[in-house]
This record gives sequence, C-alpha cells and structure tokens, in this order.
Amino acid sequence: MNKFAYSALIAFVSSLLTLIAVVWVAPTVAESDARVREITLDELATHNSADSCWKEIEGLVYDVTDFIDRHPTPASVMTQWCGRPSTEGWVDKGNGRPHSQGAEALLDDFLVGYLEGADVDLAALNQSINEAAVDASERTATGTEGQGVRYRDGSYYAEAEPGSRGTFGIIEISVQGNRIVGVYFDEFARDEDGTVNYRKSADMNYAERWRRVSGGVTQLSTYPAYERMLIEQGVPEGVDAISGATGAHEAFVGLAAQALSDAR
Amino acid sequence: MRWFKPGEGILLVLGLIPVAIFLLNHWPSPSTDPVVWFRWSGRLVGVVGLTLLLLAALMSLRLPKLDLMFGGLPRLWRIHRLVGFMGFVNILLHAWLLGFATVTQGRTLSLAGLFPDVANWPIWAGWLALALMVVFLAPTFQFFGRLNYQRWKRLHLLSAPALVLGLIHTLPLADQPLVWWVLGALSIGAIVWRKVLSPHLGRSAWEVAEVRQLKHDVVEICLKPLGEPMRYMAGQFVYLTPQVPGLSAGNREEHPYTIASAPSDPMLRLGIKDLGDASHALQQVPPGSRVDVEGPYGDFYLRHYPKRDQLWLGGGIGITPFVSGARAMLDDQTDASVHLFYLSQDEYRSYYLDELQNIAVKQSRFDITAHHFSVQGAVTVAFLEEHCPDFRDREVYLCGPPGMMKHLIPLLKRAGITGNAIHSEVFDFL
Repeated sequence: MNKFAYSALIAFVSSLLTLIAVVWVAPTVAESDARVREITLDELATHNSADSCWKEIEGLVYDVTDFIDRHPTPASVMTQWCGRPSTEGWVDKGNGRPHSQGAEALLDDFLVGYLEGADVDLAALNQSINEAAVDASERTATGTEGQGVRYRDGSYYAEAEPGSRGTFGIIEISVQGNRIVGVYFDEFARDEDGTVNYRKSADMNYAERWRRVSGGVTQLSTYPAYERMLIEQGVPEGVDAISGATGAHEAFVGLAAQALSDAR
Repeated sequence: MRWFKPGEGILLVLGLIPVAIFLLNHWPSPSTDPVVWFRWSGRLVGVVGLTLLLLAALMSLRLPKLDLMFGGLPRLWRIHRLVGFMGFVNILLHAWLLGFATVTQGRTLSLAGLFPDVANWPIWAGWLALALMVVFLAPTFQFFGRLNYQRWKRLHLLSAPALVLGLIHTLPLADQPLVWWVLGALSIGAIVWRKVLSPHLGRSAWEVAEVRQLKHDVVEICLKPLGEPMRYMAGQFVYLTPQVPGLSAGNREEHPYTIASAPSDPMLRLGIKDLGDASHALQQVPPGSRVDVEGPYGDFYLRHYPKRDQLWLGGGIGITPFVSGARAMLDDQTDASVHLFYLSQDEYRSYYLDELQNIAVKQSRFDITAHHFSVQGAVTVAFLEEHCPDFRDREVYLCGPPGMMKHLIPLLKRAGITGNAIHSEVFDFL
C-alpha cells in the first residue's frame, strides 16, 4: 500500500510539474473578441446555472463560471445569483459588507458585456479590455507569431490621399487567427463621378515606362512581392524594399501600418 | 461472515454520510463537457479523501474492548493504514482533477484554480495540509532509510494539524458543513484521547513482583496490580510503560507485550524477549519497579469457535499467547481439544517447553509436539499429519517470526485449510 501511495505521489507531482511547464511555455489562446457587447436580460437569464453562470453587477455582465470552484463559500452562495442582476449580492456578501478590492480586480477578468440600457462608458471599457488583451499577448506571444503583435480577426482597409496625378494607393489586409492571410495593394484613380476608372497594376504603358527607368523591375512583380512579404513577416517593418521600387515600398509600408492599426 | 467485523460496518455507515450528502447536492446533470466531469469527480474524490482521513484518525482511538469490534488492535491498525493511504491517494486525485479541469476547457490554460490569489485561503490551507501529509508519510516511503518507530510516532502527530487544515480547506466550501464539524470533532477527539488523555486516564498502575529468567534472552515479568486487577482473555496483549528512571532505555515509552498468564491468575505475567533497546532494558528491571499498563487488546484467539478443535502453531517468543491459552486450559470447562506444535530452532530456544509439557500431562484435551528446526528441518504436512492426523479439520492459530509464518501459511493452504480458518497475529506497526 505504501508503495502504491508513493507511486501516486510521484505521478501527481510529475503531472503537476508538466501542467505548470505547459502553461508557462504555451502561448495563451488569443482573445477571440476583445470588445464588450450589449447583453439583454433574456440572454443573461439563459446563463443561470453552475455550468454557465453570468451575472450583472452595476450594469456590467460577467461570466463567472470558472470562478465558482474558487469562490471561498459553498457554491450555492454564488450560483443563486446566476443569470440575474446581482449587484445586491456583490455589495452585501450577506454580512452587510461589500466584496474587497482584490475581488473587484478579479472580477474584471470575467467581463463579457454590459446590460442593455445600462449607463456605461463604452469607450473606456473597450480601451481597458483591449489593454488587458495586449498585456496578455505581450506576456505570452512568441517571436514567430507576429513578433509580439496581436491582430484581431477581420479585414482592414486603408486609402492614401490622391497624389498630384490623381491616383491614390489602397490596401486591404485580411487577418485570421492572429495571422495576416491576405493582402491586396494597388493604386487607383477615380473619374468625376467617383467611379474607379484606373488600376495601376493593369497599366502596361506605365510598366513599360517604369521598366526603362528602373532597368527591369516594375509594379507587375513588386506589388505582389510586397504583399507576399507582409504575409510572411506579419508586420510592415518586416517588408524589405526592392531595388528600383523604393517609392512603392514607402507607400506600401505606410498604408499597411495604417490599416493594421485598426486590427490591434 | 468471518472477514467482516461490526466495527467496519459502523465506519462504513459513517463514511457514507458525507459522500451521500455530496451526491444529493450535486447529482451530476448529463453533460458532454469534460470540464463538468473533471470538476464533479474532483470534488467527489475530495469528499471521499477527507472522509477516509477522518475515519483513519478515528481509528487511532485505542480503547480496550472497542478493538474487539474490529477483530483486535493489530487488525484495526491494518485497516487504519489502508484507509489512511487510500485517503491520501484520493486527495492527490482531488487536486489533480481540479487542476487539470482547466486543460479540458480548451480555452485559456490556467493554474489559477490550483494556485489562486492568497486571498483564496481555503485552497492554500488544502495545499498546506497535503504538504504536511507528505512530510509525515515520508518515512513510510522510506525516504530516509528504515524508519525508527518512536520517531515515526512523533512525526505522525503532524496528521492532527494536517486534518485541521483539511477541515479549514473544506468547511467554507462545503454545502453541509455540519457533517464535517461532527466527523472532524470525533476524529480530533480520538487523537486528543489517544495522545493527551489516555496516558493519564487509560492506564493502570502495577508493580513488578518478580522477574523470571526463562533463557538468557527471555524473561517473564510478573506484575502485581496496585489498583483494580485487569480482566483479559488468553492471547491478548497490553502496552507496558515503565516508570523506572534508572532504566537503560525505553523509560516512559510504551511497547506492546503479550500476556502469558491465564486470566484466572492474580498476577499479570508478560513474556518478553530481548529484541530491541526497550525490551533489552526490561530484562534487568528490578522487582518493586512501577509500571503502567494499558489494555488488554487483541482478539487473537478469542474463542470464536468454541466447538471446533484447534491447531496452535507457535514459534520463538510467539509462543507466549499459547502459554496463556494452555495455562487457561487447566481450569476451563470447554470440550474442544487443542494440539500445539512448538516450533523452535533447537531445544535451548524453546521457552516454557517444560511447563507446557506438564500441562499436557494434566489436561487430556491439550497435546504438544515440539519441533526443532536444526534437527528436523522445516515443518512438513507429513509431520503435522503424523502428530495430529485431523489437523485439516481444526481452527488454526499461528504466532511466530515472519519466516515461520511465510513458510507455514502457504503450507497449510496447500494442505487444504481455507484462509478463513487460519488466524495469525502480526505485531507490525504497533
């Protein structure tokens, strides 16, 4: 029996160390949607059990499911509030006293949204939750994954001011799972009605003129090259200039940075 | 049911109460989410683990007669050990399941459940309790070589703070704290009785009247009661605590010794072989010395089956309970007969042999056969058959050194005696 207990102890300690090592080494899974959203009373009411427990406290809605086990009372003290406005239980723990500041700090981690019609400062909330997400990513992201940068899923577009000849650069970047998966870069021009009537990538006359000046390279190959480098490198700073196309490089990097600033 | 004792039934019922309360409060709702199952089973084994540890503590209660409900103190200790280790393994599983529940979430890997904020003190109390358990169990894992019994006993006292911490961990988290308060109070009460009260209230005072040297390394100490004499049965043992400041070792240390006298004897006689420091010192204990006695304990050959004839196999100092039994046969009125095989290395190492042979002459229902290993080799079935042809039909009692037991028990089973009919008492871990 003591041999069995000893083996169990060794197995326990080893697996615990493994867990600690894994948590340390593995990057945290990206926050899928670091933006608070509006939640109706009806939606709140569907999360009314220990398996999924949401609570409204002072206008904000928290998913406290994971905390029930850690809460230092019988689970029922917490679960009786699941799925409903719970400010009362928050400001009075049952002994007339409110929860501590430490508890308040813990609560922030579980924020999922705000109750429909509640008077909350949305901009400040989104900013703080994004800061928290960036903090988390800086702690855990590894070099290969966008060099410490986190992007939210979505497509991002930026457009430059029209130049002297009326053309303007545009860029569209698609992000999925914290990776840039698609990039389109070009220069357009519009007619008086605003319709796009010119695409530089399709302008072969321009390409011929460029080829004479640069001694070979044109937009035909450099635009796709810059697009590919951005996908591979993950950040605009990783895109190297191609000799003979430095002006395009400057425009590309500027636009990419502008579009991606929305993605962070 | 020969293997199930009433005391075990009581423990089983006690132990099922907290588990039943947990199941009633948390009957699992059907779910495909592994997190739910990890959490649920994690808590369940936590409840089971603490319950087992509290029962193990309860079993440290040592009270004469109470141990008979468990088939004697040595058997009670074996259950205590088994239950304690099972409790420990369940506690490990408890922490493991709750720790790995977050892994199954597939969301954020987190250690926060296992190592939360300091503000979450019940969790840390649990960790501290587990750490204390590892410390006091360490000697049984033989981290530091063979364990020293007296030191082990002192270290094992850490189980008391470990239990208190375990309760601190559980009480704020429990649905029905009352059951834990009750079980906890019973268990802590058992430890307090054993370690604080019983040394004063549970012992009686005796005086060494005579020390008979049986061989160079065996004495029989005769004790005279200073208060009430003790009522006991043949084959039981007592804890002896010498109160002799001049003793070379083991003064005020309690050790178990088997009673050699018949229950009708006004003197309490203990057969003591020089096997360690404390028993060595007792070989020289001067008559007139004060000793404390706690007991009697043990259920070795309480006459459970008075109608059946008996086969006794004794070796070394393990002959002592049979000496008590044989002396008692001189004045008992039952009609079961006994055949004693006295196994020893040689004639010189046969203590009490003359007296036992004398009893065989006087009491026709008692027979004795001496067997000397150095002359006749190991005991065989043929040898038993030759001297006691119906030995297969008897209730068998064995007491002796481990080597003898290891040889005899398989031999008896091969000869067709069922394990149920074989009774042995091992002084292991007392």
